[in-house]
Amino acid sequence: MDLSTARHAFITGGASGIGLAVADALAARGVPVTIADIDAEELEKTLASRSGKLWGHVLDVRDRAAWARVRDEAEAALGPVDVLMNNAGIAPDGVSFSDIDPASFDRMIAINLTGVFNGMHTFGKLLRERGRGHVVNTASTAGITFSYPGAGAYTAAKHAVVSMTETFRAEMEPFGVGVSVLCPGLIDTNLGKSTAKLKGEPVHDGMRMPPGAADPAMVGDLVVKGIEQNQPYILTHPGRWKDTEKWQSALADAFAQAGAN
Amino acid sequence: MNLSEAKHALISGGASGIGLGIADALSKRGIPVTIADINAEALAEVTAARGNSVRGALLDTREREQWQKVKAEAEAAFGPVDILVNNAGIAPDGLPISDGNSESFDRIIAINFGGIYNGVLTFAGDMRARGRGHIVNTSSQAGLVTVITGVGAYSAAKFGVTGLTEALRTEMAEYGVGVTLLCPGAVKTNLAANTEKIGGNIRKYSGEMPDSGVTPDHVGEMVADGIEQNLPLVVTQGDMWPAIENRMLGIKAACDYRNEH
Repeated sequence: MDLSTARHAFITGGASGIGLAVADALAARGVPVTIADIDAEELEKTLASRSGKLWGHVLDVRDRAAWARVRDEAEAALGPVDVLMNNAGIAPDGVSFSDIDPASFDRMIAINLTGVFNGMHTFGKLLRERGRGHVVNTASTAGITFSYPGAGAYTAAKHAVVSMTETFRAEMEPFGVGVSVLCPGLIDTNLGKSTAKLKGEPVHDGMRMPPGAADPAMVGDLVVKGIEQNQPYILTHPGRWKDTEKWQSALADAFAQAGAN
Repeated sequence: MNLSEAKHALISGGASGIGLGIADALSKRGIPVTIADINAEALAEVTAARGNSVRGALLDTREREQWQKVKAEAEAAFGPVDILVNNAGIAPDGLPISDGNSESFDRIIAINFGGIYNGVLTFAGDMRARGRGHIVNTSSQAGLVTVITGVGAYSAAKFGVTGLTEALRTEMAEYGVGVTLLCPGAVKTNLAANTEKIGGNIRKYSGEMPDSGVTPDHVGEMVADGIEQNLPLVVTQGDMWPAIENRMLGIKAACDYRNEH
């Protein structure tokens, strides 16, 4: 969509990292932005640092009643949401399926998969009725590749997000609503810290993304372009295509076996 | 794995359709089979029609405690499970993400995705410890590409199964446990009627499977071969390949775009 006509953007997981970078990029283009985040403390800090340029709501994306309430409050304050970004997520815990605590698996799916559905479901009808708008869902390169050992639950959730986004794009297209899936590679965010905090685990400064992680600001610009051009897939690390290509050729082999030509 | 060495196979959703086709194919090869299913009536019928080397177990794959109970009873009768087929699933609800109710979404995710994780949770650790075994997870061609609207939850669950299974294979390979992803296309089963029976919503179009000529018995034979040869993927028919290839081209185009910008 043409961002100069966007009245209001709503971004989950918006108090830091990729969500905040997109919030800043949209705000810089004059779009009023609501950032929603589960971490009230981080939210306050971020809002203060942006001195009135962003608005905020505390939101746990697992809580459907809260979604409806926050949507209504945010729209009452800033007007109809034209841009929705379902971005909140947690990091993999690096434990294999044989060893993972089932509660940890459930939390991953509830936040990284169902949390995204909850956002689409909360705003989908309104966007469709208004016949305008754009939705961006944050998946991961782990949603289009499998080269991530110890991250099975995360990989499963992210694949599901890519798929849901593809379906949603097809469903919203006749109504003039654009839909993109963002598949970031390694970005220098505080995902490790925010995940530990949410799980009630000790947080320390050593929780950093590995060296080579990209600047989130870059993602903000890519998402802006993605919205403006209604790109189906927004990628940050195109070099990862080689991993997706391996999957493509495994599929090609299996389908050839089954008689595809 | 060499099927002549397999001591015991357990198949969820085994009382009809693809699950029963697999049960019969394995039983024919002399493997004692536990058929687990949520439908007590169908279970009684199919086990009565088969010999002593086929046992039934009532199982709702969403219930982790039931899984433990079924495992204990089944292994007391037939010994350690060497082959686990996580096959139970329900049909798409046919509802767009904006209109679908959250309960229907949750049900599809809980059965078609969560139920498969629960099977893995119950058996993968034991297989790893024994250094033998094979796990087959039933995904779908909708777990590889989304071609129609109204399948958001179903396709998300099936993509989740795809992601989970690919990650699981990597984790299990070094312990000598094989993992196969089964992606059926249209197969003549009673999926729709079974879905209604447990309270799932379905739209008319998903009620009747087109007659593709692929029967559950065919699929059973393909899966037996897949286990024997430790194939990563078993695809039942090739007709969806152009759509899958097209999706891959879309992701590739996004990589190319990023390389140029």
